[in-house]
Amino acid sequence: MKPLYEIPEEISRENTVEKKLKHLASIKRSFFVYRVDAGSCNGCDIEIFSVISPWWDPERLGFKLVASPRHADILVCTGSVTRMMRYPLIRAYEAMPDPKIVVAVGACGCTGGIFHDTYATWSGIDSHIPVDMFIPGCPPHPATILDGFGVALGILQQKLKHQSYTDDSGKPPAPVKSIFKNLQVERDLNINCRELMGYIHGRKLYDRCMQILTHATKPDDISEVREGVENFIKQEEDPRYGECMRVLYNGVYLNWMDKFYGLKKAGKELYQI
Amino acid sequence: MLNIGLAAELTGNVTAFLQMFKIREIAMELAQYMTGGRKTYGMIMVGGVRRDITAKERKIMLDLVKKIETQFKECWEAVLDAPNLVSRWKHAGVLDPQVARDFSVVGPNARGCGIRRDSRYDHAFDWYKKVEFEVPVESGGDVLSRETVRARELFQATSIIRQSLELMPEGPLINKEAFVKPYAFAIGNDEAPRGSNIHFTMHGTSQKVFRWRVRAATYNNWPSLRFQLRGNSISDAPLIVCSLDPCYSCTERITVVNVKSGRSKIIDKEQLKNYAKTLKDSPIKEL
Amino acid sequence: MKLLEFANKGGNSTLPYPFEPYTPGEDYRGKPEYDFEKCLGCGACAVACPSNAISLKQNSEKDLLIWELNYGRCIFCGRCDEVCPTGAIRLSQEFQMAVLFNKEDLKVRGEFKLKKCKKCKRPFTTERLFNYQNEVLNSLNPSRKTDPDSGICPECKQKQAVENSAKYFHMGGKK
Repeated sequence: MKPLYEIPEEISRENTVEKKLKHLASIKRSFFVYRVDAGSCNGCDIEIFSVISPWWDPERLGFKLVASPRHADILVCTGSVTRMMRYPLIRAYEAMPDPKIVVAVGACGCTGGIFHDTYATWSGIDSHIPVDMFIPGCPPHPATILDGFGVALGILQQKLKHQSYTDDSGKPPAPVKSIFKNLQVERDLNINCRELMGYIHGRKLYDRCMQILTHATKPDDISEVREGVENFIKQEEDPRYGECMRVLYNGVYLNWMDKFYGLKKAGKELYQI
Repeated sequence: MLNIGLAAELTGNVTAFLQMFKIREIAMELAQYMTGGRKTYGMIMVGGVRRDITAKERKIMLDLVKKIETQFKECWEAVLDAPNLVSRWKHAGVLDPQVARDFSVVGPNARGCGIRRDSRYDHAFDWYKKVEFEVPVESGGDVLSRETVRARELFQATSIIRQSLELMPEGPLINKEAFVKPYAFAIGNDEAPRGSNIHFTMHGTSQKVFRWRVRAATYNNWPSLRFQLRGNSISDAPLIVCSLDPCYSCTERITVVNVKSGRSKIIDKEQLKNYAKTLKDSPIKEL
Repeated sequence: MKLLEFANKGGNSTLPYPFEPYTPGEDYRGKPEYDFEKCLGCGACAVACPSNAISLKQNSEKDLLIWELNYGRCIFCGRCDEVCPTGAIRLSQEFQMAVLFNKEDLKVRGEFKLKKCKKCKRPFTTERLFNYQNEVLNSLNPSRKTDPDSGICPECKQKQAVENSAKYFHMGGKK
């Protein structure tokens, strides 16, 4: 396949890292930004519009949007490059005065994102032009984009660093111990919590359920647990947690107590809330 | 809200643009409390949804909805108060109702010409049958009537949100028994802010998607643009294009079929990739 | 003009970030945080990730399993969080993720020792997953005897099971 775009000699000579850092440190006026969309879904572009809104005002840092690349210092690109937008992107890059900074916004701009192995895109902007700053996110929160500008201007420190964990002792994490005779009770409770309230709130519901069960002197004592659940429903201000706790008690807990101790049918109905 | 802000900016009123986006940030916060992300929601899976709404979130959401309504009402009346803006929007980009019917235009473009089409109302499914709302329609067919339709729809949308939050039934979120038969297909029709979208999906053998095709709303609206541009000045051109609400990436899904010869050929992945990237050595040259 | 009155009423509504810290709301889907001590190397997150941001590969000497997460490809959907059995990867509310000049800063990496089969000497799982499984079974049944056939890869186990059953049938159904 034909090789990708080769940067002309005079541009790469003027754009070494030292010259760019010197340029960033010495900008005493507003920095002018030109925006190119190289085939994105427009989510990242709408987030760039949101950054310009009065809530996240970047103009106090000196940001100004211009209409022509010949006036610009910084090139902001979104999207993974498609065939039709490849040539305009290269033309905009060559039209900017040196030294210049390129920012790739969004998961598609950094590495191609979720479209990294399709036939229709080259994956990522750094397959064509050298990129200086990567802002991941899908789409990135406006605070993340402001954080990017802060790092470039030296106001903020870069937080993300390469992490590598190489000392594996082979020792696994400790397994969960059951408070009943059988771990399947906890497993059933966990599965039902997740079905009732989704994976985030289900974990909170599971924690509160285990709190009630460990609070009782014996978790097999049905009347004490029933009292605990009724107190919980009365004190809890959120009716959704109360209702789900009742479903868990009636459905899962009483069924397992039935399997362990064999409650008769009348006994089981007596214990239900 | 995005569209009204952009249309205001293109007529030169940057203040209105910035104030609209300020109100829009509140709507983004509302989406974040409910789903965890501002624009990418990730809530729906086969058999149910992934996250729950508890009473704490419900209270915050009702407060935010009320804030959006009151602030938007004031801002919209303030925008309409400027006489130069209204006179530029009136009689610009007129779309004839007969042309709209011929090209089957959808969304606020159709509703601005007096055609009452809304897929939430015409093909109501599930919860939409139990919620009460109206479909705003304006006659006139110019930019002002389309923006007015969008503003009125915002009030209908907040009313739907409020009704849903108050009437939500109780019960589990995920239905475990949901199983899709292999090679079963379905067509889904829903109303987006730009118009109606149609999705066709077919499931494969291992509960994964096998075929998927989308017809986005902008694909229908785009060909009617040349009738709207006739007779207007050049400075009105970006305003008319913006009031159509184009989503350029929605029009990238075009397929070309050669039905004259009856031959077919299987192309492998590398050939397709090379041809799409460089447009040389077409593998279907002999067809 | 009405618009100016509206703008003045709103006042100065700019948030003071980046000069003061900012937290997005609770349960915002931010950067995934990885806890190496809890990870087993099971690979459920790599299967669930829609954009292949998490990858599991062997290194070139074939004695270590390398788990790698690339934040540049992540779409912050939360599916790895849902399926992890021990809670080693969880989505936090962190949003400060910009990286200057160096693309390698976007990656997180962990290395696991592989366990080799007793018979054919090829690696088939990580040491941690194998030890975890033994500990869980022991804690459920303290008087459990170790299976003499454990520590064998699935292909060798198939062949072993066929040999065992052939011996059983040869001896006329007696052990």
